[in-house]
Amino acid sequence: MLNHEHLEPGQMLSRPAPLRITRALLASYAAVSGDHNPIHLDRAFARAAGMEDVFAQGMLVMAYAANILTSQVPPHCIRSYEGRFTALTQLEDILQAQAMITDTYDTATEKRIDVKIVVTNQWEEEKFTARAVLVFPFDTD
Amino acid sequence: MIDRKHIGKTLGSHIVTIRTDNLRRFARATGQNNPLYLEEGYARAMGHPALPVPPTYLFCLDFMQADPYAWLFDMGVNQHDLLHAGQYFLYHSPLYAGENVKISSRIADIYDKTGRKSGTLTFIIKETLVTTTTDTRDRLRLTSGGKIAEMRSTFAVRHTPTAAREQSHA
Repeated sequence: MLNHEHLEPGQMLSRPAPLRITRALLASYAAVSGDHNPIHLDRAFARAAGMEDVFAQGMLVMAYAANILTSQVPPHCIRSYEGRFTALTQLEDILQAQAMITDTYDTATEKRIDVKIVVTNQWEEEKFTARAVLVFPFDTD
Repeated sequence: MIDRKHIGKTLGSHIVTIRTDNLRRFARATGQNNPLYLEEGYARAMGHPALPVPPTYLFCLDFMQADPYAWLFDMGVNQHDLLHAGQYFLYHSPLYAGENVKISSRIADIYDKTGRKSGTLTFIIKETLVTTTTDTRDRLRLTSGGKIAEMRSTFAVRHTPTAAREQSHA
């Protein structure tokens, strides 16, 4: 849990465990997400689309990156979460997420921090970047 | 070419009941290890009424309808050419297992953008509103008109399959 008495720009958040992208993981994400787009599941379909092979659902990457937020603050303290998929996430990529506080400020109604999140694979290739706005103090309701 | 006449089109709505077992499976599939999102007993002990919905699960709720890609097929978009370029969530109120929500979407914008490597891509912006249909005395929800969250999805449609090999889709 983040300590809301010590929040400063530049501060890093603790990182979630890496996530290895496998066909089985893509299939299980498809099942739980309801998104059965074959481009993530069927090699022949992906190749017909001009890809080398299937690749990860963007929302799997975004969900993984959100773990850095859910491990730090209660659900109601996440105000917004916005990200861009900057490159395809391939099979056998091992994703790692890191997050840094970029700003702390007050609005008319609440205290906020901005967090920048970057997801890379094991070769430091960027896959996803995001900004989240968190409100504090991080009390449980 | 995707017809600009679709801009502003409403895509209808559907109602979904949030299920504990689905949330647990989602948490496991996405590398979640916080027990708050996995164990109902733990969530209750932490003062929550049930398992909370994780931040990106709202996107999945939109897929919980008979034919989630129909709106794209109706515009002539082929799944081969579709990429998810970006996603935005704005949260008004937390959501928990056992609740019913209404998911309503519209096409907010369609525009072309030409990149040096990617060539011309057509971007489709879809906006989705999640509102609660569960009777609630929660003051926060009443003042926000039952609004739980807003989403904005940016999809990129490729015009040439070679663009994909260069992975410059966003």
